[in-house]
Amino acid sequence: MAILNRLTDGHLDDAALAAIWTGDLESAETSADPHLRRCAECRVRYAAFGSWMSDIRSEALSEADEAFPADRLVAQQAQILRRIEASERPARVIAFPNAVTGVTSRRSSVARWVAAGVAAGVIAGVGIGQMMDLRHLGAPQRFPPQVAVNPPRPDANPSGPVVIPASAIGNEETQLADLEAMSTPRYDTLRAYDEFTPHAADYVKPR
Amino acid sequence: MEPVTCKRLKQQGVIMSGVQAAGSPGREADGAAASAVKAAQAEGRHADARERYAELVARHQRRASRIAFHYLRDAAEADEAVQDAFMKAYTHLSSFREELPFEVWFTRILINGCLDRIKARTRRERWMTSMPDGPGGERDFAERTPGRGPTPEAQLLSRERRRRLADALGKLPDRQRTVFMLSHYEGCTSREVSAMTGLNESTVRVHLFRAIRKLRVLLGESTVDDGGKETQRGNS
Repeated sequence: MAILNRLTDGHLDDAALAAIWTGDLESAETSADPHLRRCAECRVRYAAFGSWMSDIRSEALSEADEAFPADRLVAQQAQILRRIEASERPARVIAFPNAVTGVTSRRSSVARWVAAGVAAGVIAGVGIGQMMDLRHLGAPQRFPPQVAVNPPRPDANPSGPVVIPASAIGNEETQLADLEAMSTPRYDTLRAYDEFTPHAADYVKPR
Repeated sequence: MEPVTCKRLKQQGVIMSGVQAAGSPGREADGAAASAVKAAQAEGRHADARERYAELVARHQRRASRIAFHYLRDAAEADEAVQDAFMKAYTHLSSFREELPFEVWFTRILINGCLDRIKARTRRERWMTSMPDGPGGERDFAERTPGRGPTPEAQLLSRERRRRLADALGKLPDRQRTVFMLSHYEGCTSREVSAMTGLNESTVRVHLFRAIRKLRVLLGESTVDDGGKETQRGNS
C-alpha cells in the first residue's frame, strides 16, 4: 500500500519515511533513497520526521535522567555493593553454649548451714502451726456424748434430770446439738445475747 | 537544502549509533572487568571481585536505570529492578560467556526482571484498587524537588507530553516496545537488540518499523484512514 501511495501521490508517505529512517538507523549512512535525494518536499518532511523522533528520544531520556539524578545513582551503586557483600557473608550462627561451667557459690559452708537451719525452722513452724490449727478446729467435735434436757416434765421422775445416752438420740438431735455447739459464741461480748436466746436443745423431747 | 538524515542526527550527537552506545572501548573494558570478577570469585577474593564489579555497575547503571524506568514508569520500582539485575548478574557471572558483550547479557537479565515485575504488578492490580493520586504521593523524586529552570507552564506541558508519550508507548505490544526502546532510546543496533531479546534481526527491524508507525498514529502525528492510506497532520 505504501508503494502504491508513493506511486500515486509521487511523494513519500509516513510509512516510507519510517522505513527509510529505520534503515538509516541501521546503516549509519546518508539515506540512499533516490526519491529523497531529488524531492525537496519529501526531504523537509523527512527532516521533520527525524526531528520528531529525536524529540521523543530526548524527552524520554531526560525524564529518566530526572528520575535518576547523580546522587540517586551513587546511592544505588552503594546499595548494590552492600547487597552483594551481605550475600557473600555467611549467615551468623550463634554457637550453642556446650561448655557452660556450673554456677557455684563463694560463700562459706557455715552460711549454707545457717540458711538450711532457717529454712528447716520455717518449715517446722508452718507445719506445727497447721497442726495446732487443726486441733483447734476439731474441738467442737469433742462434745460430751451426753445431752442434758431441761426443764424436767412434771410427770417425770423428780429425782433429777433425765439423762439420755447420746446413742439413744436420733440423728436429728445430734445435728441440732452440733448446730448448737457451732453457734455458741466464742466471744464474751456475745455470751449475754446467747443466754437469753432459746436453744434448740431446749425443745428436744426426750424419748 | 541538506537533508537531515539519521546519519546527520548521529553526527550531531542527537542519536547514538549502537556501537557508540555500547562503546567499543567500554566493551573491552567490560570484558576485562567481567573476567577479573569471575577470577576473583573463583579464588574467593570477594573484596577484589566487588571492587572490579563496582566498575561495571558504574558504567552501566545509568543506562540500566533508564531502561528499567521506561519499562516500569516508577522510579522506586525501577531502582529495585536495577539492583536486582546487578545482583543476579554478579551471582551468575560464572555463566557469562566472554564472547557476548556484558552489556547485552546484562540487559537481557534486566529486561526479564522488568517484565516479571510488570506481570506481578498486573496480577496485583487485578485484586487491589489503586489509590488516588495525592499531593506528592505518586510523583517522581524530580517532580518533588523545587524547580530550577523551566517555568510551571513549561513543566506542565513537558509533563503532559511525557504522559502522552508514556501512554502511547504503553499501548505498544511488548516486543515492539522493547525493540523501540532499545533501538531508539538506547541506540542499539538490530544485532544487539536481537541478542538481547532473542528475536531475529529482521524481526527486530519489522518491530521497530511497526512501533514507529503506531506511535505516530497514537501521538497524532499520522492517521490511517479506512482504506489504510496514511495522511500526515503536519510537519511539526
